[in-house]
Amino acid sequence: MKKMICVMCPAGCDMEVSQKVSCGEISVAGNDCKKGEVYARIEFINPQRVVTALFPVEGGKAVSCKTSAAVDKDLIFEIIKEIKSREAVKPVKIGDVLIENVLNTGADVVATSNMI
Amino acid sequence: MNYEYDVAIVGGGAAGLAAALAAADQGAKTLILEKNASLGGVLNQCIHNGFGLRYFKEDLTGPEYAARFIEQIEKKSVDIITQATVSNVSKDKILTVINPVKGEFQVKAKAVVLCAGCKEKLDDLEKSLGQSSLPQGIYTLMQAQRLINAEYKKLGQKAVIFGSDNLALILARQMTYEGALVQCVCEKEPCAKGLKSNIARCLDDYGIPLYVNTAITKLRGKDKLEGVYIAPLDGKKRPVAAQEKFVECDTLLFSSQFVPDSDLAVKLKLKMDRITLGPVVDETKQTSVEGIFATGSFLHIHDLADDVSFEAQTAGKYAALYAQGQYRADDKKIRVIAGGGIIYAVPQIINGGDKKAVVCFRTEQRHRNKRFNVFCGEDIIFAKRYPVLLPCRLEQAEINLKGIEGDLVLSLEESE
Ligand SMILES: Cc1cc2nc3c(=O)[nH]c(=O)nc-3n(C[C@H](O)[C@H](O)[C@H](O)COP(=O)(O)OP(=O)(O)OC[C@H]3O[C@@H](n4cnc5c(N)ncnc54)[C@H](O)[C@@H]3O)c2cc1C
Repeated sequence: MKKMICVMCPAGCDMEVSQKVSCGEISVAGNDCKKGEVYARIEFINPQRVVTALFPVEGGKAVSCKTSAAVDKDLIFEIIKEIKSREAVKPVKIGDVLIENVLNTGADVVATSNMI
Repeated sequence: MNYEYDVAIVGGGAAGLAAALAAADQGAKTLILEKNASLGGVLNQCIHNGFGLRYFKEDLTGPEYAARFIEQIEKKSVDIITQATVSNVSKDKILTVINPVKGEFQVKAKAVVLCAGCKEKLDDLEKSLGQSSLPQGIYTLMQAQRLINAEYKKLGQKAVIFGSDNLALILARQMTYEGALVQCVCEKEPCAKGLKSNIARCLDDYGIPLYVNTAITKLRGKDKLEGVYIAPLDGKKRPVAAQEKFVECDTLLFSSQFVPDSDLAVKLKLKMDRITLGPVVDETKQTSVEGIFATGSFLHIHDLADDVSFEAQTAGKYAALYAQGQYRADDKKIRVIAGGGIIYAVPQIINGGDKKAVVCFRTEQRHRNKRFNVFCGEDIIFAKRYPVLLPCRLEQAEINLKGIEGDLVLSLEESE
Protein backbone atom coordinates (compact mmCIF):
# COMPACT_ATOMS: atom_id res chain seq x y z
CA MET A 1 0.00 0.00 0.00
CA LYS A 2 1.22 3.46 -0.87
CA LYS A 3 -0.05 6.76 0.56
CA MET A 4 -0.11 9.77 -1.74
CA ILE A 5 -1.62 13.22 -2.00
CA CYS A 6 -3.59 13.98 -5.13
CA VAL A 7 -2.22 17.00 -7.01
CA MET A 8 -5.04 17.37 -9.52
CA CYS A 9 -6.85 20.14 -7.64
CA PRO A 10 -6.48 22.25 -4.47
CA ALA A 11 -8.55 19.79 -2.44
CA GLY A 12 -5.48 17.53 -2.28
CA CYS A 13 -7.21 14.27 -1.33
CA ASP A 14 -5.17 11.84 0.77
CA MET A 15 -5.24 8.61 -1.18
CA GLU A 16 -4.14 5.04 -0.61
CA VAL A 17 -3.14 2.90 -3.54
CA SER A 18 -2.65 -0.83 -3.28
CA GLN A 19 -1.95 -3.68 -5.63
CA LYS A 20 -3.11 -7.27 -5.22
CA VAL A 21 -0.12 -9.59 -5.34
CA SER A 22 -2.18 -12.38 -6.94
CA CYS A 23 -3.51 -10.60 -10.04
CA GLY A 24 -1.76 -7.22 -10.01
CA GLU A 25 -5.05 -5.37 -9.77
CA ILE A 26 -4.62 -1.79 -8.52
CA SER A 27 -7.19 -0.18 -6.22
CA VAL A 28 -7.41 3.45 -5.15
CA ALA A 29 -9.13 4.76 -2.03
CA GLY A 30 -9.63 8.24 -0.54
CA ASN A 31 -10.12 10.10 -3.81
CA ASP A 32 -13.15 12.36 -4.15
CA CYS A 33 -13.31 12.19 -7.92
CA LYS A 34 -12.34 10.24 -11.00
CA LYS A 35 -9.35 12.50 -11.76
CA GLY A 36 -7.75 11.36 -8.53
CA GLU A 37 -8.07 7.74 -9.46
CA VAL A 38 -6.40 8.27 -12.84
CA TYR A 39 -3.63 10.28 -11.24
CA ALA A 40 -3.07 7.67 -8.52
CA ARG A 41 -2.71 4.85 -11.01
CA ILE A 42 -0.13 6.72 -13.11
CA GLU A 43 1.70 7.90 -10.01
CA PHE A 44 1.76 4.32 -8.66
CA ILE A 45 3.04 2.69 -11.81
CA ASN A 46 5.30 5.35 -13.29
CA PRO A 47 5.76 8.60 -11.33
CA GLN A 48 7.26 11.34 -13.48
CA ARG A 49 8.39 14.89 -12.82
CA VAL A 50 9.64 17.92 -14.68
CA VAL A 51 12.93 18.88 -13.02
CA THR A 52 13.85 22.55 -12.63
CA ALA A 53 17.32 23.40 -11.38
CA LEU A 54 20.33 25.71 -11.65
CA PHE A 55 22.86 24.92 -14.38
CA PRO A 56 26.45 26.04 -13.71
CA VAL A 57 27.87 28.62 -16.12
CA GLU A 58 31.53 29.59 -16.49
CA GLY A 59 32.75 32.13 -13.96
CA GLY A 60 30.86 30.72 -10.98
CA LYS A 61 27.45 31.72 -12.29
CA ALA A 62 24.33 29.72 -13.13
CA VAL A 63 21.26 29.83 -15.31
CA SER A 64 17.96 28.21 -14.54
CA CYS A 65 17.05 25.12 -16.54
CA LYS A 66 14.37 22.45 -16.85
CA THR A 67 13.85 19.07 -18.42
CA SER A 68 11.91 19.51 -21.66
CA ALA A 69 9.52 16.75 -20.54
CA ALA A 70 8.67 14.89 -17.36
CA VAL A 71 11.26 12.25 -16.47
CA ASP A 72 11.20 9.22 -14.17
CA LYS A 73 11.09 10.41 -10.60
CA ASP A 74 13.83 7.96 -9.63
CA LEU A 75 16.23 9.71 -11.98
CA ILE A 76 15.89 13.19 -10.47
CA PHE A 77 19.07 13.08 -8.40
CA GLU A 78 21.11 11.52 -11.17
CA ILE A 79 19.95 14.26 -13.52
CA ILE A 80 20.85 16.91 -10.95
CA LYS A 81 24.29 15.28 -10.59
CA GLU A 82 24.71 15.33 -14.35
CA ILE A 83 23.73 19.01 -14.47
CA LYS A 84 26.10 19.96 -11.65
CA SER A 85 29.00 18.13 -13.32
CA ARG A 86 28.84 20.44 -16.32
CA GLU A 87 29.46 24.07 -17.09
CA ALA A 88 27.74 26.02 -19.84
CA VAL A 89 29.59 28.62 -21.89
CA LYS A 90 28.17 32.12 -22.21
CA PRO A 91 26.01 33.39 -23.80
CA VAL A 92 23.10 31.18 -22.82
CA LYS A 93 19.65 31.89 -24.20
CA ILE A 94 16.22 30.64 -23.13
CA GLY A 95 15.51 27.40 -24.99
CA ASP A 96 19.19 26.50 -25.54
CA VAL A 97 19.69 22.75 -25.17
CA LEU A 98 22.26 22.31 -22.40
CA ILE A 99 22.17 18.49 -22.30
CA GLU A 100 20.63 16.49 -25.10
CA ASN A 101 18.61 13.40 -24.21
CA VAL A 102 19.74 13.48 -20.59
CA LEU A 103 20.45 9.96 -19.24
CA ASN A 104 18.55 8.53 -22.19
CA THR A 105 15.24 9.79 -20.86
CA GLY A 106 14.28 11.29 -24.20
CA ALA A 107 14.11 14.71 -22.52
CA ASP A 108 16.64 17.50 -22.98
CA VAL A 109 17.85 19.87 -20.31
CA VAL A 110 17.06 23.35 -21.65
CA ALA A 111 17.88 26.82 -20.36
CA THR A 112 14.96 28.79 -18.93
CA SER A 113 16.80 32.10 -18.52
CA ASN A 114 19.33 34.19 -20.40
CA MET A 115 22.92 35.00 -19.52
CA ILE A 116 25.03 37.25 -21.70
CA MET B 1 10.62 68.56 -18.16
CA ASN B 2 12.51 66.01 -20.28
CA TYR B 3 10.18 63.12 -19.91
CA GLU B 4 6.49 63.31 -20.70
CA TYR B 5 4.33 60.24 -21.03
CA ASP B 6 0.68 59.25 -21.14
CA VAL B 7 1.26 56.36 -18.75
CA ALA B 8 4.22 55.88 -16.38
CA ILE B 9 4.55 52.46 -14.79
CA VAL B 10 6.46 52.07 -11.54
CA GLY B 11 8.03 48.59 -11.40
CA GLY B 12 8.64 46.08 -14.18
CA GLY B 13 7.59 42.79 -12.58
CA ALA B 14 4.66 40.63 -13.69
CA ALA B 15 2.27 43.49 -12.94
CA GLY B 16 4.25 46.28 -14.60
CA LEU B 17 4.86 44.23 -17.73
CA ALA B 18 1.19 43.34 -18.26
CA ALA B 19 0.06 46.87 -17.43
CA ALA B 20 2.54 48.34 -19.92
CA LEU B 21 1.40 45.99 -22.68
CA ALA B 22 -2.23 46.83 -22.11
CA ALA B 23 -1.52 50.58 -22.03
CA ALA B 24 0.52 50.38 -25.23
CA ASP B 25 -2.27 48.37 -26.86
CA GLN B 26 -4.55 51.36 -26.26
CA GLY B 27 -2.05 53.53 -28.09
CA ALA B 28 -0.76 55.32 -24.99
CA LYS B 29 2.83 56.55 -24.86
CA THR B 30 4.12 54.32 -22.09
CA LEU B 31 7.22 54.24 -19.86
CA ILE B 32 8.35 51.52 -17.43
CA LEU B 33 10.62 52.59 -14.57
CA GLU B 34 12.35 49.62 -12.97
CA LYS B 35 14.63 49.72 -9.95
CA ASN B 36 16.62 46.59 -10.88
CA ALA B 37 18.96 46.12 -13.82
CA SER B 38 16.46 43.85 -15.56
CA LEU B 39 12.72 43.43 -15.91
CA GLY B 40 10.71 40.55 -14.41
CA GLY B 41 10.70 41.21 -10.66
CA VAL B 42 10.25 38.13 -8.47
CA LEU B 43 9.53 36.00 -11.55
CA ASN B 44 13.29 35.91 -12.17
CA GLN B 45 13.91 34.13 -8.89
CA CYS B 46 11.06 31.62 -9.25
CA ILE B 47 12.91 29.07 -11.40
CA HIS B 48 10.35 26.29 -10.81
CA ASN B 49 7.50 25.61 -13.21
CA GLY B 50 3.77 26.11 -12.71
CA PHE B 51 3.54 29.59 -14.26
CA GLY B 52 1.35 30.48 -17.21
CA LEU B 53 -1.17 27.65 -16.90
CA ARG B 54 -4.04 30.15 -17.02
CA TYR B 55 -2.52 32.95 -19.07
CA PHE B 56 -0.64 31.02 -21.75
CA LYS B 57 -2.25 27.59 -21.22
CA GLU B 58 1.32 26.32 -20.91
CA ASP B 59 3.50 25.20 -18.03
CA LEU B 60 6.38 27.68 -17.78
CA THR B 61 9.05 28.61 -15.25
CA GLY B 62 9.07 32.13 -13.78
CA PRO B 63 11.87 33.51 -16.00
CA GLU B 64 10.22 32.04 -19.11
CA TYR B 65 6.90 33.62 -18.11
CA ALA B 66 8.61 37.01 -17.73
CA ALA B 67 10.43 36.56 -21.05
CA ARG B 68 7.13 36.04 -22.89
CA PHE B 69 5.97 39.47 -21.75
CA ILE B 70 9.33 41.15 -22.32
CA GLU B 71 9.40 39.86 -25.93
CA GLN B 72 5.97 41.35 -26.56
CA ILE B 73 6.94 44.64 -24.92
CA GLU B 74 10.04 44.93 -27.07
CA LYS B 75 7.82 44.77 -30.15
CA LYS B 76 5.75 47.72 -28.90
CA SER B 77 6.95 51.25 -28.53
CA VAL B 78 7.22 51.07 -24.76
CA ASP B 79 10.15 52.95 -23.25
CA ILE B 80 12.02 51.21 -20.47
CA ILE B 81 14.46 52.71 -18.00
CA THR B 82 16.14 50.20 -15.71
CA GLN B 83 18.07 50.96 -12.53
CA ALA B 84 15.52 53.70 -12.10
CA THR B 85 14.16 53.94 -8.59
CA VAL B 86 11.04 56.04 -8.21
CA SER B 87 11.40 57.89 -4.91
CA ASN B 88 8.22 59.91 -5.11
CA VAL B 89 4.99 60.24 -7.06
CA SER B 90 3.01 63.43 -6.58
CA LYS B 91 -0.75 63.82 -6.85
CA ASP B 92 -0.29 65.77 -10.10
CA LYS B 93 1.65 62.77 -11.44
CA ILE B 94 5.20 64.00 -11.40
CA LEU B 95 7.56 61.14 -10.64
CA THR B 96 10.95 61.68 -9.05
CA VAL B 97 13.41 59.09 -10.28
CA ILE B 98 16.97 58.22 -9.27
CA ASN B 99 19.30 56.50 -11.73
CA PRO B 100 23.06 55.94 -11.34
CA VAL B 101 23.79 57.37 -14.82
CA LYS B 102 21.17 60.07 -15.22
CA GLY B 103 21.16 61.12 -11.56
CA GLU B 104 17.86 62.43 -10.25
CA PHE B 105 15.28 63.37 -12.83
CA GLN B 106 11.55 63.86 -13.17
CA VAL B 107 8.91 62.28 -15.33
CA LYS B 108 5.55 63.86 -15.99
CA ALA B 109 2.71 61.50 -16.77
CA LYS B 110 -1.01 61.80 -17.35
CA ALA B 111 -1.63 58.53 -15.53
CA VAL B 112 0.51 56.37 -13.26
CA VAL B 113 0.30 52.63 -12.52
CA LEU B 114 1.97 51.64 -9.25
CA CYS B 115 3.39 48.10 -9.58
CA ALA B 116 6.21 48.20 -7.02
CA GLY B 117 5.52 44.73 -5.58
CA CYS B 118 5.63 43.52 -2.00
CA LYS B 119 8.12 43.07 0.82
CA GLU B 120 8.53 40.83 3.85
CA LYS B 121 7.76 42.12 7.31
CA LEU B 122 11.13 41.61 8.90
CA ASP B 123 10.90 41.93 12.66
CA ASP B 124 9.08 38.63 13.27
CA LEU B 125 11.93 36.27 14.14
CA GLU B 126 13.91 38.42 16.57
CA LYS B 127 10.66 39.24 18.29
CA SER B 128 9.37 35.69 18.47
CA LEU B 129 12.69 34.39 19.81
CA GLY B 130 13.24 37.33 22.14
CA GLN B 131 16.71 37.80 20.66
CA SER B 132 18.19 41.12 19.71
CA SER B 133 20.86 39.82 17.35
CA LEU B 134 20.90 36.73 15.19
CA PRO B 135 23.80 34.47 14.20
CA GLN B 136 24.83 34.12 10.55
CA GLY B 137 22.90 31.63 8.47
CA ILE B 138 19.36 32.96 8.90
CA TYR B 139 17.41 34.14 5.88
CA THR B 140 13.88 35.12 5.02
CA LEU B 141 12.33 33.06 2.24
CA MET B 142 12.39 35.80 -0.38
CA GLN B 143 15.99 36.63 0.51
CA ALA B 144 17.01 32.97 0.28
CA GLN B 145 15.25 32.50 -3.03
CA ARG B 146 16.99 35.56 -4.45
CA LEU B 147 20.42 34.54 -3.14
CA ILE B 148 20.16 30.99 -4.47
CA ASN B 149 18.61 31.70 -7.84
CA ALA B 150 19.66 35.19 -8.81
CA GLU B 151 23.08 35.27 -7.17
CA TYR B 152 23.84 31.53 -7.16
CA LYS B 153 25.00 31.56 -3.54
CA LYS B 154 25.35 28.30 -1.63
CA LEU B 155 23.51 28.88 1.61
CA GLY B 156 24.58 25.90 3.72
CA GLN B 157 24.74 22.15 4.21
CA LYS B 158 21.93 21.48 6.66
CA ALA B 159 18.76 23.52 6.71
CA VAL B 160 15.64 23.94 8.79
CA ILE B 161 12.69 25.79 7.30
CA PHE B 162 10.27 27.56 9.58
CA GLY B 163 6.94 28.22 7.87
CA SER B 164 4.96 26.12 5.43
CA ASP B 165 3.61 28.48 2.78
CA ASN B 166 4.15 27.57 -0.87
CA LEU B 167 7.44 29.42 -1.07
CA ALA B 168 8.77 27.55 1.99
CA LEU B 169 7.85 24.21 0.40
CA ILE B 170 9.38 25.10 -2.95
CA LEU B 171 12.59 26.23 -1.27
CA ALA B 172 12.80 22.94 0.65
CA ARG B 173 12.95 21.13 -2.67
CA GLN B 174 15.36 23.57 -4.20
CA MET B 175 17.76 23.49 -1.25
CA THR B 176 17.71 19.69 -1.63
CA TYR B 177 18.60 19.99 -5.32
CA GLU B 178 21.42 22.35 -4.41
CA GLY B 179 22.90 19.65 -2.22
CA ALA B 180 21.69 20.69 1.23
CA LEU B 181 20.03 18.32 3.66
CA VAL B 182 16.70 19.83 4.66
CA GLN B 183 16.19 18.47 8.16
CA CYS B 184 12.56 19.50 8.53
CA VAL B 185 9.89 22.05 7.79
CA CYS B 186 8.17 23.39 10.93
CA GLU B 187 4.82 25.14 11.11
CA LYS B 188 3.33 26.62 14.25
CA GLU B 189 -0.24 26.28 13.00
CA PRO B 190 -2.01 22.88 13.09
CA CYS B 191 -2.07 22.67 9.30
CA ALA B 192 0.43 23.48 6.55
CA LYS B 193 -0.26 26.79 4.82
CA GLY B 194 0.78 25.82 1.31
CA LEU B 195 -1.09 23.72 -1.23
CA LYS B 196 -1.17 20.01 -0.59
CA SER B 197 0.17 19.42 -4.09
CA ASN B 198 3.30 21.30 -3.04
CA ILE B 199 3.60 19.17 0.10
CA ALA B 200 3.47 16.12 -2.16
CA ARG B 201 5.86 17.47 -4.77
CA CYS B 202 8.35 19.33 -2.60
CA LEU B 203 8.43 17.44 0.72
CA ASP B 204 7.03 13.91 0.32
CA ASP B 205 8.99 13.29 -2.88
CA TYR B 206 12.22 13.82 -0.95
CA GLY B 207 11.22 12.45 2.43
CA ILE B 208 11.44 15.87 4.11
CA PRO B 209 9.45 15.79 7.36
CA LEU B 210 6.79 18.40 8.09
CA TYR B 211 6.12 19.14 11.76
CA VAL B 212 2.93 21.11 12.33
CA ASN B 213 2.01 22.66 15.69
CA THR B 214 5.71 23.15 16.22
CA ALA B 215 7.72 26.22 17.14
CA ILE B 216 11.37 27.16 17.20
CA THR B 217 12.13 27.94 20.82
CA LYS B 218 15.84 28.78 20.76
CA LEU B 219 18.80 29.09 18.45
CA ARG B 220 22.24 27.67 19.10
CA GLY B 221 25.35 29.41 17.82
CA LYS B 222 26.79 32.81 18.59
CA ASP B 223 28.31 34.08 15.36
CA LYS B 224 27.26 31.22 13.11
CA LEU B 225 24.10 29.19 13.44
CA GLU B 226 24.72 25.66 14.78
CA GLY B 227 21.17 24.49 15.19
CA VAL B 228 17.69 25.20 16.47
CA TYR B 229 15.56 23.86 19.29
CA ILE B 230 12.05 22.94 18.27
CA ALA B 231 9.11 21.99 20.46
CA PRO B 232 5.50 21.00 19.86
CA LEU B 233 2.85 23.50 21.00
CA ASP B 234 0.16 22.66 23.51
CA GLY B 235 -3.52 23.61 23.28
CA LYS B 236 -2.70 27.13 24.42
CA LYS B 237 0.04 27.52 21.82
CA ARG B 238 2.79 27.25 24.43
CA PRO B 239 5.85 25.13 23.64
CA VAL B 240 6.00 21.86 25.59
CA ALA B 241 9.45 22.14 27.21
CA ALA B 242 9.68 18.43 28.01
CA GLN B 243 9.43 17.55 24.34
CA GLU B 244 11.90 20.14 23.09
CA LYS B 245 14.57 18.73 20.81
CA PHE B 246 17.69 19.94 19.09
CA VAL B 247 18.02 19.94 15.31
CA GLU B 248 21.45 20.59 13.87
CA CYS B 249 21.57 23.12 11.02
CA ASP B 250 23.77 25.88 9.62
CA THR B 251 20.90 27.47 7.71
CA LEU B 252 17.50 28.58 8.89
CA LEU B 253 14.94 29.89 6.43
CA PHE B 254 11.97 31.53 8.01
CA SER B 255 8.80 32.68 6.46
CA SER B 256 7.44 36.10 7.29
CA GLN B 257 4.32 37.86 6.20
CA PHE B 258 4.31 39.40 2.72
CA VAL B 259 2.89 42.90 2.63
CA PRO B 260 2.53 45.41 -0.21
CA ASP B 261 5.53 47.74 -0.40
CA SER B 262 3.44 50.75 0.55
CA ASP B 263 6.05 53.56 0.73
CA LEU B 264 4.91 55.34 -2.41
CA ALA B 265 1.25 54.87 -1.54
CA VAL B 266 1.76 56.34 1.91
CA LYS B 267 3.66 59.36 0.54
CA LEU B 268 0.80 59.92 -1.88
CA LYS B 269 -1.63 59.66 1.03
CA LEU B 270 -3.72 57.12 -0.90
CA LYS B 271 -6.67 55.70 0.95
CA MET B 272 -5.44 52.34 2.28
CA ASP B 273 -7.14 49.04 3.14
CA ARG B 274 -6.36 48.00 6.71
CA ILE B 275 -6.39 44.31 5.86
CA THR B 276 -4.63 44.07 2.49
CA LEU B 277 -2.30 46.92 3.58
CA GLY B 278 -2.46 48.12 -0.03
CA PRO B 279 -4.44 50.99 -1.54
CA VAL B 280 -8.23 50.96 -1.87
CA VAL B 281 -9.15 50.65 -5.55
CA ASP B 282 -12.18 50.45 -7.81
CA GLU B 283 -12.79 47.83 -10.51
CA THR B 284 -10.43 49.65 -12.92
CA LYS B 285 -7.75 49.54 -10.15
CA GLN B 286 -7.87 53.32 -9.81
CA THR B 287 -6.89 54.47 -6.31
CA SER B 288 -8.40 57.30 -4.27
CA VAL B 289 -6.31 59.74 -6.35
CA GLU B 290 -7.64 60.18 -9.89
CA GLY B 291 -5.34 58.88 -12.58
CA ILE B 292 -3.24 56.85 -10.16
CA PHE B 293 -3.74 53.10 -10.44
CA ALA B 294 -2.32 50.23 -8.39
CA THR B 295 -1.98 46.54 -9.19
CA GLY B 296 -0.06 43.32 -8.54
CA SER B 297 1.40 42.56 -5.14
CA PHE B 298 1.61 46.31 -4.53
CA LEU B 299 -2.19 46.21 -4.35
CA HIS B 300 -2.65 42.97 -2.46
CA ILE B 301 -0.68 39.74 -2.04
CA HIS B 302 -1.28 37.36 -4.92
CA ASP B 303 -0.55 33.64 -5.09
CA LEU B 304 -0.35 33.30 -8.84
CA ALA B 305 1.51 35.36 -11.40
CA ASP B 306 -1.25 34.66 -13.90
CA ASP B 307 -3.77 36.42 -11.66
CA VAL B 308 -1.40 39.38 -11.42
CA SER B 309 -1.13 39.60 -15.21
CA PHE B 310 -4.90 39.61 -15.72
CA GLU B 311 -5.44 42.20 -13.00
CA ALA B 312 -2.63 44.42 -14.30
CA GLN B 313 -4.08 44.40 -17.81
CA THR B 314 -7.18 46.08 -16.49
CA ALA B 315 -5.11 48.68 -14.64
CA GLY B 316 -2.97 49.40 -17.71
CA LYS B 317 -5.94 49.67 -20.01
CA TYR B 318 -7.83 52.12 -17.81
CA ALA B 319 -4.69 54.14 -17.08
CA ALA B 320 -4.32 54.61 -20.84
CA LEU B 321 -7.98 55.51 -21.27
CA TYR B 322 -7.71 57.99 -18.40
CA ALA B 323 -4.58 59.55 -19.94
CA GLN B 324 -6.38 59.88 -23.28
CA GLY B 325 -9.35 61.55 -21.61
CA GLN B 326 -11.65 58.67 -22.51
CA TYR B 327 -12.35 57.42 -19.02
CA ARG B 328 -13.46 59.08 -15.79
CA ALA B 329 -14.88 57.22 -12.81
CA ASP B 330 -18.48 58.22 -12.10
CA ASP B 331 -19.76 59.42 -8.77
CA LYS B 332 -22.02 56.50 -7.99
CA LYS B 333 -19.95 54.20 -5.80
CA ILE B 334 -20.87 50.73 -4.63
CA ARG B 335 -18.81 49.50 -1.71
CA VAL B 336 -17.66 45.87 -1.62
CA ILE B 337 -17.58 44.63 1.95
CA ALA B 338 -15.96 41.42 3.21
CA GLY B 339 -18.47 39.66 5.46
CA GLY B 340 -18.52 36.34 7.34
CA GLY B 341 -15.62 34.00 6.56
CA ILE B 342 -14.01 36.39 4.06
CA ILE B 343 -10.84 38.26 5.06
CA TYR B 344 -10.79 40.79 2.26
CA ALA B 345 -12.17 41.65 -1.13
CA VAL B 346 -10.60 43.63 -3.99
CA PRO B 347 -11.77 45.96 -5.50
CA GLN B 348 -13.16 47.64 -2.43
CA ILE B 349 -15.28 49.95 -4.59
CA ILE B 350 -17.20 49.49 -7.82
CA ASN B 351 -18.39 52.43 -9.88
CA GLY B 352 -22.10 52.36 -10.54
CA GLY B 353 -23.51 51.51 -13.90
CA ASP B 354 -24.90 48.39 -15.46
CA LYS B 355 -21.82 46.28 -15.86
CA LYS B 356 -20.08 43.14 -14.82
CA ALA B 357 -17.21 43.36 -12.36
CA VAL B 358 -14.67 40.81 -11.18
CA VAL B 359 -14.26 40.71 -7.42
CA CYS B 360 -11.54 38.64 -5.83
CA PHE B 361 -11.59 37.49 -2.25
CA ARG B 362 -9.64 35.45 0.24
CA THR B 363 -11.05 33.23 2.97
CA GLU B 364 -10.00 33.09 6.58
CA GLN B 365 -9.60 29.33 6.82
CA ARG B 366 -9.66 26.14 4.85
CA HIS B 367 -13.23 25.16 3.91
CA ARG B 368 -14.98 22.29 2.16
CA ASN B 369 -18.36 22.72 0.45
CA LYS B 370 -19.25 26.32 1.09
CA ARG B 371 -21.59 28.60 -0.74
CA PHE B 372 -20.21 32.03 -1.55
CA ASN B 373 -22.95 34.66 -1.53
CA VAL B 374 -23.01 38.28 -2.57
CA PHE B 375 -25.75 40.24 -0.83
CA CYS B 376 -27.16 43.60 -1.81
CA GLY B 377 -29.41 44.42 1.11
CA GLU B 378 -31.51 41.29 1.69
CA ASP B 379 -31.11 40.03 -1.86
CA ILE B 380 -28.56 37.49 -2.97
CA ILE B 381 -27.33 38.79 -6.32
CA PHE B 382 -24.64 36.18 -6.87
CA ALA B 383 -24.01 32.71 -5.45
CA LYS B 384 -21.49 30.01 -6.22
CA ARG B 385 -20.68 26.72 -4.55
CA TYR B 386 -17.02 26.02 -3.83
CA PRO B 387 -15.98 22.43 -3.08
CA VAL B 388 -12.72 23.76 -1.62
CA LEU B 389 -11.65 27.18 -0.37
CA LEU B 390 -8.13 27.78 0.88
CA PRO B 391 -6.53 30.82 2.53
CA CYS B 392 -3.57 30.39 0.17
CA ARG B 393 -5.78 30.70 -2.87
CA LEU B 394 -7.31 33.91 -4.03
CA GLU B 395 -10.73 33.26 -5.56
CA GLN B 396 -12.63 35.43 -7.96
CA ALA B 397 -16.18 35.88 -9.07
CA GLU B 398 -17.66 37.87 -11.93
CA ILE B 399 -20.70 39.67 -10.66
CA ASN B 400 -23.40 41.19 -12.83
CA LEU B 401 -24.33 44.59 -11.44
CA LYS B 402 -27.28 45.34 -13.68
CA GLY B 403 -29.75 47.38 -11.68
CA ILE B 404 -27.68 47.20 -8.49
CA GLU B 405 -27.59 50.37 -6.40
CA GLY B 406 -26.54 49.48 -2.86
CA ASP B 407 -23.37 48.14 -1.23
CA LEU B 408 -22.35 44.51 -1.66
CA VAL B 409 -21.57 42.18 1.22
CA LEU B 410 -19.69 38.95 0.54
CA SER B 411 -20.09 35.97 2.85
CA LEU B 412 -19.84 32.21 3.13
CA GLU B 413 -22.45 29.72 4.25
CA GLU B 414 -22.67 25.96 4.61
CA SER B 415 -23.65 24.07 1.47
CA GLU B 416 -24.67 20.44 1.08
C1 LIG C 1 8.68 35.42 -3.23
C2 LIG C 1 7.49 35.13 -4.09
C3 LIG C 1 7.31 33.88 -4.68
C4 LIG C 1 6.24 33.64 -5.53
N1 LIG C 1 6.09 32.40 -6.10
C5 LIG C 1 5.10 32.20 -7.00
C6 LIG C 1 4.95 30.95 -7.68
O1 LIG C 1 5.69 30.02 -7.41
N2 LIG C 1 3.98 30.82 -8.61
C7 LIG C 1 3.14 31.84 -8.92
O2 LIG C 1 2.30 31.72 -9.82
N3 LIG C 1 3.22 32.99 -8.25
C8 LIG C 1 4.17 33.19 -7.30
N4 LIG C 1 4.23 34.38 -6.64
C9 LIG C 1 3.16 35.34 -6.88
C10 LIG C 1 3.36 36.18 -8.15
O3 LIG C 1 4.27 35.57 -9.03
C11 LIG C 1 3.90 37.48 -7.79
O4 LIG C 1 2.96 38.04 -6.91
C12 LIG C 1 4.07 38.37 -9.00
O5 LIG C 1 5.10 37.93 -9.84
C13 LIG C 1 4.32 39.75 -8.48
O6 LIG C 1 4.43 40.64 -9.52
P1 LIG C 1 4.51 42.18 -9.19
O7 LIG C 1 4.86 42.83 -10.49
O8 LIG C 1 3.33 42.63 -8.47
O9 LIG C 1 5.73 42.33 -8.14
P2 LIG C 1 7.29 42.12 -8.34
O10 LIG C 1 7.60 40.98 -9.17
O11 LIG C 1 7.86 42.21 -6.98
O12 LIG C 1 7.73 43.40 -9.16
C14 LIG C 1 7.86 44.66 -8.59
C15 LIG C 1 8.94 45.37 -9.36
O13 LIG C 1 8.95 46.73 -8.98
C16 LIG C 1 10.28 47.15 -8.81
N5 LIG C 1 10.24 48.28 -7.89
C17 LIG C 1 9.91 48.26 -6.57
N6 LIG C 1 9.96 49.50 -6.06
C18 LIG C 1 10.30 50.33 -7.08
C19 LIG C 1 10.52 51.73 -7.16
N7 LIG C 1 10.37 52.53 -6.10
N8 LIG C 1 10.89 52.26 -8.35
C20 LIG C 1 11.04 51.45 -9.44
N9 LIG C 1 10.85 50.11 -9.42
C21 LIG C 1 10.48 49.56 -8.25
C22 LIG C 1 10.99 45.93 -8.30
O14 LIG C 1 12.38 46.00 -8.53
C23 LIG C 1 10.32 44.81 -9.06
O15 LIG C 1 10.97 44.51 -10.27
C24 LIG C 1 5.29 34.65 -5.77
C25 LIG C 1 5.44 35.88 -5.13
C26 LIG C 1 6.51 36.13 -4.29
C27 LIG C 1 6.62 37.46 -3.62
